[in-house]
Amino acid sequence: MSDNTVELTDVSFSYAGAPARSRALDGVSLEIKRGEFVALMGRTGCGKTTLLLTLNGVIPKTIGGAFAGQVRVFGEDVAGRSVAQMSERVAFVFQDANDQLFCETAREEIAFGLRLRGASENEISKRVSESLGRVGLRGFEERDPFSLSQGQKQKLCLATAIASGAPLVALDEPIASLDYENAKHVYEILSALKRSGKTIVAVEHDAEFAAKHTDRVIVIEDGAIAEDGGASLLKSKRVERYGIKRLK
Amino acid sequence: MNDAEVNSMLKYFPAQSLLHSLDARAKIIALIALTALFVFLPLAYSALALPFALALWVTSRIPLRKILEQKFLLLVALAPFVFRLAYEKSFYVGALAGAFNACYALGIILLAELFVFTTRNADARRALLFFRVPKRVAFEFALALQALPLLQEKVLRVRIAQQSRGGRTRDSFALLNPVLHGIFLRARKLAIALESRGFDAERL
Repeated sequence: MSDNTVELTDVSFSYAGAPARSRALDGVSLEIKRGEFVALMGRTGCGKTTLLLTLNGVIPKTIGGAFAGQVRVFGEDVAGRSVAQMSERVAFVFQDANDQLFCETAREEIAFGLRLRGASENEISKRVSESLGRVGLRGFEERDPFSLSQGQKQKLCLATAIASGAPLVALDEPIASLDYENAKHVYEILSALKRSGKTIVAVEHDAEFAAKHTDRVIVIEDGAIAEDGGASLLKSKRVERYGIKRLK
Repeated sequence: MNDAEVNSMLKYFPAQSLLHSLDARAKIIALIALTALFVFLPLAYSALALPFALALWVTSRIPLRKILEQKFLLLVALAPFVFRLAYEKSFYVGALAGAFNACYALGIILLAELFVFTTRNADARRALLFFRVPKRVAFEFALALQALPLLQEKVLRVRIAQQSRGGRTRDSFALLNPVLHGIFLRARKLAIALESRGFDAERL
């Protein structure tokens, strides 16, 4: 049995309506092992988020376009499962917390996916309590998600991902709108998740956080993989070519 | 948004009152029954919808300022009033009929708002499912209720953005395009987020 959580084989994708030669992903092949913490980096519009969205099948099932290649997650072809089915394997945290919060309380937000899977109320309560505790939001069960600060909303989205129990966590710029302290806390939570055995793939622009917390950095340029190495890659002068801040 | 801003929006308003503790199913039945009653009553009696709604509002412990904050209610009151004035031959009859129509329209809207303010989304959804409303419809209704404060917030943000660039304060048409665009964009992103969390509309 493969040790890989994620396997992309020659994946290409163009958004519907995009110019003929414009490809958001261009022949991407990569493997991500179980338990790895991977940062996807590169310029805005290079294809990082597009790549991330192939992991749970949103691309190409929900966001249509010309798709080629194969994506396998935990050995299963993503094409053979619906996005809803993939939610058991892949927990997705979107860039803007406001785009994924839709319940009246933090408890309901976390319980939503669990109820759909038929979890008992006892199990739900246990997971709500555990996940909120892990993100530092203990006591926030009855709070209205829309009254929370941006940092708290992002942590609530993380709590939802944790509570789902999915072994692969995909995050799109998890600290994009956070101050340094909240960003640091989010990455500490992600590091703890990695230590507990989860595989994490995060689109990230901040080289310092990526260097400190991730095992591997994949640089995307024009829809293709330009660099793939350890976090020490971020100290190389090469990364400046791709719009990434080089670390000293 | 802070707690004060959130509490000013058209969404569940926590309070201790009989209406809050009433079962959502009873509230739905009462709302439908009252609406039907006021429709079939003679015009003068249907105007009682407004004082009735106001009396319920007071008992619900929801601040009256939440009514005053809703400027669109003025439009709701003026529209039938103006229509009746234009329609009726006699000014006196037109004004009286218009006033009764306005009271009726305002009353029904306030009763519907009371339902929103005193009923949690989850309870409303369960009540609809109890009445054998299709799961998909019940879920869409709950999401639509959830969308109301977001719509309010979007309008506010767009208005502020336009004003800070010199836009006219009362230009509601200028709001239409960005707000509608924002609604559709949000709906699309929400659909993706829902799916990513296991929601499958086809299985409902």
